[in-house]
Amino acid sequence: MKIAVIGTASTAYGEWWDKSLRQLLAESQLTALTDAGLAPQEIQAIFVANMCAGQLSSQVNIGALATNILGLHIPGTRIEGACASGGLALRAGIAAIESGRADVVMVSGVEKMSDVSHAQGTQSLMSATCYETEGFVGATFPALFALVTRAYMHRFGITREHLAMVSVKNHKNGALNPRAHFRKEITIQDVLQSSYVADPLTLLDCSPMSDGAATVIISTPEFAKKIGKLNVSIIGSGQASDTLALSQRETFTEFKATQHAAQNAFMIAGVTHKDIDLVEVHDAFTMAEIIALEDLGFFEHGQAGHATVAGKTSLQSNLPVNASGGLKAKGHPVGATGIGQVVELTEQLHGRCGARQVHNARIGLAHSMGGLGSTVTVHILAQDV
Amino acid sequence: MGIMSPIEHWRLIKNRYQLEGTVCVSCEKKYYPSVYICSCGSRAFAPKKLRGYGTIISFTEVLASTELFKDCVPYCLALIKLNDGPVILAQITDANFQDLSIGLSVRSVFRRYFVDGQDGLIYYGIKFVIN
Repeated sequence: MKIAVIGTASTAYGEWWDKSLRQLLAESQLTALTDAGLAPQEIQAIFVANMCAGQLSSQVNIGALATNILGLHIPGTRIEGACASGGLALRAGIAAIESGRADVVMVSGVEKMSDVSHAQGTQSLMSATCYETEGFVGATFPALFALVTRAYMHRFGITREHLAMVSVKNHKNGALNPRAHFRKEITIQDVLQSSYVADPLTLLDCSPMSDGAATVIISTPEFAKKIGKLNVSIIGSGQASDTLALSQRETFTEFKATQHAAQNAFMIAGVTHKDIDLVEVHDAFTMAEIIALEDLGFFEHGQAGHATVAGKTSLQSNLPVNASGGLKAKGHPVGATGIGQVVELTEQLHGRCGARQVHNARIGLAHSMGGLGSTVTVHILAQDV
Repeated sequence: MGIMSPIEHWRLIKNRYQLEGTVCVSCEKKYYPSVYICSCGSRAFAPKKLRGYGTIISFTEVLASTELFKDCVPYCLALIKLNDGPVILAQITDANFQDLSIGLSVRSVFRRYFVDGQDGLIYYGIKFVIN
């Protein structure tokens, strides 16, 4: 696989009171065009990732919104897979190019969470789970992850301090990221003492709800070479699914979909774990980062918490995880998140990340997860040589 | 947003009030609530009232919740392995969070989950108490 990434853009993530869903989307689309040096007419198809706009903004059919913004009549398609919508939209864009249907594709993601209350946002995010069994009994996303966390802690013996280290690390990285929702360092004590959302997870174990948008423009290598932008390419992609409901799983301490998606992506990319220089994982919760690193194959089951405490995933390590600050500090505008990870990896591979630049970044991996690992994508990007 | 249509609830009454799941006619594996294709490959199922005895696999106390449940916090949720086989997610009631543990025996009870305002439906379902 070789899909060139020829332009990227992302808004800052946070609470954007003065910007609407469409304003955020437009900003990222237009900035990406400028970054690629392309006129709108050169885009042949647009895929837009979004989860909640139908419920929270009464707006679906966002594929058309995206093409309207560019003043075009090309195919525009909204893609949804809960919090993995971004990863899925990228898969759709890649498929359009691989099939020969298009040479130049824009893939965007956008979410507007702050127009409603936190409780309403929490309600909306529950539609990513098996609503009729889990939403009905009063589950929340943090509660479902808390069930996984307690089961994991019981099985592997890690503590809340191990989890807290994930949040501390990601906040430290986020403090170096001008686009991050939270740019403040925190301590382990801050995490342990923050209020419980669903025991044992506290406020600082949980990623926030954010507004934001991100866009990447992808193309065939031939087109990229023609415009002098063959620098970074997507070389691997994988996707898998699992049961919506946590209660229907065979195991509560692993997410099989992540394992399958990663295996596929590595196989297509033709690289191994040792080749990966940096990883952006879907740390919706501190526990999610730990489990993801194990399911992706970077650590044995039960070991990623210890590795985090030992600094093996810090910005200075051999495997920086969430140099961007991750979902925890950078923020989580649901539909944008998976695309934002690819923007981050692309900028890292270009050497444009300033204070949070990963040394010698040549190959990166992005992990995007919807529900409790019911929809997962994994992408691998590499510098072109 | 989030309130289930009374029609949807009516369809699910046997699941939600009577802990009715399904059993595969071929291999007798039990499911809650149901699947379309059994792990053995069969597509033939019969309804099966499950017995409400089980043990806690994992649990949590919810302190911040959705629009529907925000006035009910704190409450306890648990993944419960029924002795009959399937795993169910339900609230634990009549118990303190401190009394819960993985492996604890619980049994089902019929309780209220939430109310649709002053004029709407009262939604009941199955919760669990310490056995």
